[in-house]
Amino acid sequence: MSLTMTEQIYLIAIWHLKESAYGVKIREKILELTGKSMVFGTLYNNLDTLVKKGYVETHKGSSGPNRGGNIRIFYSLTKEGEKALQESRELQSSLWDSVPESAFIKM
Amino acid sequence: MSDKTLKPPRLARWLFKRMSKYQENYAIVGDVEEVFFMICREEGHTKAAMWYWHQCLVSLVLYWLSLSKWRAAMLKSYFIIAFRTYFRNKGITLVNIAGLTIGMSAFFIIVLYISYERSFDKGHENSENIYRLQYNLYKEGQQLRTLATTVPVAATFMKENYAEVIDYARATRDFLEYAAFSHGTDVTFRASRIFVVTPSFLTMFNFPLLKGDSKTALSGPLQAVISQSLAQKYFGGENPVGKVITYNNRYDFKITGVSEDVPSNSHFKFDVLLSYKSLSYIAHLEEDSTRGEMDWQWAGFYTYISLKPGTDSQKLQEKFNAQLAAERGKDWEKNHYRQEFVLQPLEDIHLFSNLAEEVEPDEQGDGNAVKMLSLIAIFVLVLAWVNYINISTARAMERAKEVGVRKVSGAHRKELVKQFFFEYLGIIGISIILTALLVLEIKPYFSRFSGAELSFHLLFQSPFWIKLAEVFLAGTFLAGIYPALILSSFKPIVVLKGRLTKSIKGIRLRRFLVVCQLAISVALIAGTIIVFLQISFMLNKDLGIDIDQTLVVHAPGMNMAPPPVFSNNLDAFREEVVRHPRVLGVTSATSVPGEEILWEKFIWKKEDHPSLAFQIRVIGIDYDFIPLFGVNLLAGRNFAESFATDNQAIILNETAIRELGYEDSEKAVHRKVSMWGEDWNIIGVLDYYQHPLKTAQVPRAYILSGNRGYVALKLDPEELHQTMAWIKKKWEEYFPSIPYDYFFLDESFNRHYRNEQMFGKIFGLFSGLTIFIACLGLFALASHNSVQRSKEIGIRKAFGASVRNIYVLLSEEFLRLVLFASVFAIPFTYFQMNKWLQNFAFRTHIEWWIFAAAWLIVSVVVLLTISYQTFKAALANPVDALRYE
Repeated sequence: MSLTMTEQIYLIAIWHLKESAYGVKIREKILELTGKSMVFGTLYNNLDTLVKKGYVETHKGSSGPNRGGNIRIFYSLTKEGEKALQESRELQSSLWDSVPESAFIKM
Repeated sequence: MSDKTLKPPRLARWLFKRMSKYQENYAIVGDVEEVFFMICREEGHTKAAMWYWHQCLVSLVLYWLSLSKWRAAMLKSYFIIAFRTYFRNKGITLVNIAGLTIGMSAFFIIVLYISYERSFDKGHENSENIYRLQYNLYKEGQQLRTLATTVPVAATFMKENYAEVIDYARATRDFLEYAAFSHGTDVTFRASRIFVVTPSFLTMFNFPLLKGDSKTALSGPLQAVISQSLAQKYFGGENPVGKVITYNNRYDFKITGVSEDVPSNSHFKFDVLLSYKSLSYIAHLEEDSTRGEMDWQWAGFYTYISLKPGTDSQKLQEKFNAQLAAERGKDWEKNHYRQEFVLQPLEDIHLFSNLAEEVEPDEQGDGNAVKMLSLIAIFVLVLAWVNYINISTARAMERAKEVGVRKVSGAHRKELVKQFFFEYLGIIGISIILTALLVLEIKPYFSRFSGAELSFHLLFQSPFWIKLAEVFLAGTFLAGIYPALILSSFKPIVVLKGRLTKSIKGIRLRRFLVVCQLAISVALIAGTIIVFLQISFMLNKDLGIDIDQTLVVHAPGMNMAPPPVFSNNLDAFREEVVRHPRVLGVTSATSVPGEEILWEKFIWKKEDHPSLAFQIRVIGIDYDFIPLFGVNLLAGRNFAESFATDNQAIILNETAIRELGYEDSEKAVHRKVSMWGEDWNIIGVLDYYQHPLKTAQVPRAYILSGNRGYVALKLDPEELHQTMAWIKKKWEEYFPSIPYDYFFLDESFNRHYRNEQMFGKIFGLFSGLTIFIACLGLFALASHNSVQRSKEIGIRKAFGASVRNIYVLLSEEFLRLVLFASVFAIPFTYFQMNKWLQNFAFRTHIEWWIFAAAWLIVSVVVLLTISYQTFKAALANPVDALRYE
């Protein structure tokens, strides 16, 4: 099954962040990549789905400044996640290659 | 950022933690907190708190939705049960929704109003560090005057000596009260709010210019800035900048800027600003042009200073006064006076300042009234919650069996709590939607009615709304959870065996809550009566002067000699006008009742030492003033043309006589006083209320004078319109260059009470609402009560009790509660209202009958409310109640 757009965005954001991928950073990255700001509740719901599907794995980290002593959860891509990303990239580029540049009039 | 004040909103944080506990994910709390502090640093605490709440609420909804995925079945069942309950008890459901909706709407409207009243002067940059100088003048150790205006040198002195003072701004309207401007030959206009201001005025305050440059617009002599609406009115679509307006036919001012109209929540409002360098022309300072900067006596300047953030204003004030005492002590001692300056925070001026010479004395707010309204707002909201709690717990009996059966079939208490809370959520949800609609609908009406520009924008500007939101959410939650906990607590065995007859504890609490509601009602009714009594006292008090049917026209020239055209023509105008059969008389004076008296002199008994002098207000009048206004002379006589010496004669009011130290009015006549360095012969004593009854009487003196501020005409009420049109025509004939600007004296005098009248209306309106909400609750309670006691009533009737007996029996309990409530309410109201009455120099008394009336009104309303249910119960056939026994 190929990835949805949202899943792709999340996975790519986590890939960008490498070791520093935890809530705040992921949210920032997504904002940077797509210009969309999201509520943490949504963020974690989506991350949970990705974990359940096995594309992402978590490990608990230490706390940081200004966190009221709460831990950070770090996310990283699994082998499966990387594979899924690779697949959807191939699918997408092959999809788009079949459509000529001039197909749609620029608005 | 370890600053203690910068913390996420507590309630929201707690909610977040609860959610994370269920989701076993504490990282989210940390994440949100981290971003919160980031926003705090960049955009301030208010923004950050708003963001935090947003995160919290959306996440909460998401959390609920995620639960519903696997608890959909349960939710569906709650939903169905809730709907069944609503429909089975339509009346109760409606009462609940109506109570909550009205309570919340009233609460939000008052909150909006309060946030408007508190928003005054907060729009300026650095506004929390701007202070106005209040001027206290002591004479012989006694405080003589407390003014909002002060001497010009105070600010100059502070700026020179203290590094904390960033800048100062001065504004004065002395000499400008009766200014008329003309533009070209044909447009003459009179703007009432004209000030001479320092160039810093436009930069210290946020009064943006639409045209022109704030920095230079008022830097030169004879420059003027006019407001947008004035520009629109007199120049239409043309650009007024660069045009010339002529002040009192003498000086040409160049318009250098157009300002935005001053927002209504500013204590300082203006139409025209003139540059400070023009002061020497307007105030005739040819001989000494530095007076506008260095004068120690001329207390005519609104003076504002802006301090560096973090300055302790109290310390600065002490330092300043101490230094003054050191430098000027000798001079003070020689002249028997002492000056003192108080730093008054700009943001407090609207609500907490009540000095002489306020910029807009009639628009000054009343901090006490706002506090009382806040109390009412809380009352209404609490009443609405209490109502829900009362009604729900009262129905415990009816629902006890339901709870028993559910428990026997395996329901946990937790699920029952959820079910009952779900029912509440439905009701509160509908109420909140209705409240939102209602508030939006009412807002414009209320704005018009109260003259306050209500907007949510103002509310969200002040950080106090977050506290408010928390209290609101917490209260709303408690009002729902308490009945849910009570209802779900019944033990199935007890209920199903039918042994649960009455829970004493529940009844006590309910009685207590009802007493609270009734006490609030009694207090508010008594309060409303007192407010209206005070208003009618002020409106109906015999002023000692007849101001009805009096048309007053502004005349130019007040402190200065009137323009020659005016003096020459006035007598001719008067003679012509008096001949009209509908004009009963004409008089002219420098002040009329309700208007400021601008002349001020020192007066003392001739035989006394001049150091005993005190300030007295002087009104210049003519021979006709006293008879025309029907002023009663307590002693002596009026000015008369037959006495050639009357230009050195003086008439005093009773307050002046007392302050001069004469035993009584009769004895004062023919004595001599000194004023202006001349001797004056007292020929008469009078007394009437020159000022609205809010303010105390001040010493006043009347002399014959050629100076005119006002021309007053007594008119016959018949054919008023024709008479007025005729007068206008004549005025324009005689004084073509002077605008015909008139008002009716009684209207303008009573306009001073506008604020009080508005307060009375708002107070009355919301008292009515609270009582209505209380009645809704009582109605439901009474119905429940009669159902509860139906068997008892049946037995009593079977034994021969009459309908009347039963009616009395059922009503008695409620009436006893009203009596009990009154006992609580009366001392509280007495204390609060007495405090409010202290605002008025002349006030009505709080009499016992007011409380009796309040008690009676509430009793009658309660009786009417419960009568329907009580009668129904009393009329019921005992067989219906008893046949299943």
